[in-house]
Amino acid sequence: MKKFNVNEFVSLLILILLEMEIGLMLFTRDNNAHIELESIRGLYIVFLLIPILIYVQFLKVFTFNSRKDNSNNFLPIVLTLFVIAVFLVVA
Amino acid sequence: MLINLDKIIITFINMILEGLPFLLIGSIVSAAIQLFVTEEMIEKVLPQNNIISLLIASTIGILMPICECAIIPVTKSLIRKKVPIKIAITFMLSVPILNPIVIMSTYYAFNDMKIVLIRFIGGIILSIIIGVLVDILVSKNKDIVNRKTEYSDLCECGCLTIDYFTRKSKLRICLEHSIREFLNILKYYIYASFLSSIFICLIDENMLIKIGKGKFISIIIMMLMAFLFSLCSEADAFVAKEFLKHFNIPAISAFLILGPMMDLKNAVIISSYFKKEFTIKLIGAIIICILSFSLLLSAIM
Repeated sequence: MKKFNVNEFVSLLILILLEMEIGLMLFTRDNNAHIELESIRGLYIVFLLIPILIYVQFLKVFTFNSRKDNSNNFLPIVLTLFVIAVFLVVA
Repeated sequence: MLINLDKIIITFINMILEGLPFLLIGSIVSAAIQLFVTEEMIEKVLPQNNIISLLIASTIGILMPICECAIIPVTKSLIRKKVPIKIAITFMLSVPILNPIVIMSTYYAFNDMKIVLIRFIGGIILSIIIGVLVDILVSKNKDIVNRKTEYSDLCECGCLTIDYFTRKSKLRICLEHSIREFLNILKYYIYASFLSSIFICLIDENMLIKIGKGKFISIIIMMLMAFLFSLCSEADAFVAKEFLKHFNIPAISAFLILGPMMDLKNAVIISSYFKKEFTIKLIGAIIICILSFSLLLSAIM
């Protein structure tokens, strides 16, 4: 019996958001003068690797729900992604 | 004191972006070690002679272009696979310094082989000394990994139970563990980067330069800056070069060696992965050894 796993779904959303933000940063890098060139180079590796992890994570969404509440673990990551998103929009 | 929020946010975002590739690669390598490397394999590969093992652990970084963020989860996996603590710690401390990119960036920044050699040889010697010292200090309790942040013993991801039904491939389980490891370490990296970015924006470098005139004080000031600024080992040489105008070589070497071994960012990640008692002993050993090394260097030069 398979169920919808909320924790895994949140992890999936985080990975998708991260991929989108990195993609946005790489393809609009002329507008992001604040981001260092050294960081941009390394981000290409992340941009290529994360889709593989997204695929694997997607398969995990429809599994048993863990009894452990992981919402606190995700909070700093979600907040950081939000700050980066705001930064990208404003910059 | 007026806090420049824009500068803090930009520094914070740059630190996160700088560390992301290394965190991701480190998580994948760590998960691969957990899954594919057995204790028997490590026993076979590691030389029986402790001195040879330590020498290999301290110099293998020349072949590994990874920095300090990636090496901590790898070290944790090695310790879980029963690699002796002294060898794992020597490996963890030396790899970010002996990394080929770090050696090249140090040479390009200073254009002086003397500083490169001090960093390179100092890194090897100090990583071995600290590794052995920490091993002696934790001899009573070898269980140093913090079980609270461990996901693999009672695997929350459920791979152990689900694998029984679905028979996943090892590669898929490895990638699933990589995701967990990545999100786990990313959380601590975020806390640490946020703290460091605040320090970077608050500390007045000119004031520190004015204070740091004496031999001893200058070393302490540079060590403090290396710890609080949490610069990536691949870029810290360029920052250190700017300080060369105000500080002597022993103080610069303290900055160049301490940064990759232990900074605020590493301290937060290490304290989350390992027990508090071990973290305190490790930080203490690193600080004392690097301070002694720099003072010795200052007496010689």
